[in-house]
Amino acid sequence: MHDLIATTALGTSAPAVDHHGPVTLTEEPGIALASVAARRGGERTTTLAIRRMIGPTAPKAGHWAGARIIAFWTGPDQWMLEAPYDSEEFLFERAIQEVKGKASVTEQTGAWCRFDLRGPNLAAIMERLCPINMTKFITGNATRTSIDHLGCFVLCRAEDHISILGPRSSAASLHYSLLTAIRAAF
Amino acid sequence: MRWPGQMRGGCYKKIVDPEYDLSNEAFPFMACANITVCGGLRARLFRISFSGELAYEIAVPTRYGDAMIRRLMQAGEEFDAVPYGTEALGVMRIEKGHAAGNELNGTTTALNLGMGRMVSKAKDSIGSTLSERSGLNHAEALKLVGLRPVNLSDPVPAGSHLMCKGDPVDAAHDQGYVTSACFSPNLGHSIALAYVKSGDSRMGEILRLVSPLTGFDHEVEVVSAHFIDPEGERLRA
Repeated sequence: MHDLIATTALGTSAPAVDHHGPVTLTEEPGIALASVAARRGGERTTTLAIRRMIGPTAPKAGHWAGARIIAFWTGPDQWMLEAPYDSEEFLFERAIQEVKGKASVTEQTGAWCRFDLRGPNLAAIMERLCPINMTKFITGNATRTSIDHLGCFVLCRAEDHISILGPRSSAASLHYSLLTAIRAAF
Repeated sequence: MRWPGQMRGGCYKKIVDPEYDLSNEAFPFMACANITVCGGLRARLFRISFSGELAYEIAVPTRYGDAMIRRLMQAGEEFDAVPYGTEALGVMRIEKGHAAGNELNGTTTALNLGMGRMVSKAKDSIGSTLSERSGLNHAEALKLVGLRPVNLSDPVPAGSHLMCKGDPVDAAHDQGYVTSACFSPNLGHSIALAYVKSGDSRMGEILRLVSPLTGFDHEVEVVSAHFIDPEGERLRA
């Protein structure tokens, strides 16, 4: 068993937690990610593989689905899988087995950071950051957007819970952007 | 996705878990493998060197990158390991003649790099068709060479252009341009990599290196791009 200590995207041993007014912003390092892109002719096999892994049918454009392992749509016949890191560190290997060579699978765990917003009226924060139409962005929706020039994915997990995934190397910039928007909104 | 750190020499044995055979026979230059380090952390090891020495690159999951470099420095302490940055790496790769972004500038092909024979004409490959364009294959195609100042105390400014002695300094007589330049601590003078028309057949020729905007005009000798260890013995040690 190795003894190296992991750091979060913000470079510390413990994830950042920020409270402002009714809103909490948390750094979420405990996720494993894998991208899955169907190869030509492998679309059906890939969607069936996604369903076996997450439970429900592979989500359509603009949506995420699943429970412990989820998938969110990232493009035509492309999804990102997300799961708890502790139990699914090798999520990408499982996906490789499931797709049986009909899709390209890439481990994405170390490339992204995730920040979760929890609280009421999160639209007031998000509308300061990105062009997502928050009046129509409801539980189960997932989309790609740009936040302070960073390409991000945004998932609506519940009415009072939104996740933002951004490039890991820009975690500090993204964190700062989110905090600034929170403080402006509340 | 991964955090790579470059290792040198024998300190890797203190990092790589003992079941892996990293002898020269089992893990020669350009080998790569999935391994574990520091008692079980998954990693990838590459025996590869941009600086031209016996070297490795090790990739670990991003969250362990900070811990990895600290452990590497700890392991390397008895070998006087020092961290070095991209400036030092850039100097070493110029000394070695390794092409980088300055040479791979979107206007050149393997032929210009002196690697034309590595691209099979019998098999298709990405870029193969475009590389066959007549403008990229004429008799005076640019070839990558090294430049050494005739007066060893002269600099060799990057971006300067090359002219034949006696020719007017204008675009019509342009023989090529410097792509990468540095002061070589190993050689004690400035050196450069450059693209020169038919450069591979002009070894030893003296050219004028000019920068009309700044008035720079000094003589350089066309030499091999591989200033240090041209046979690659250090890489394969």
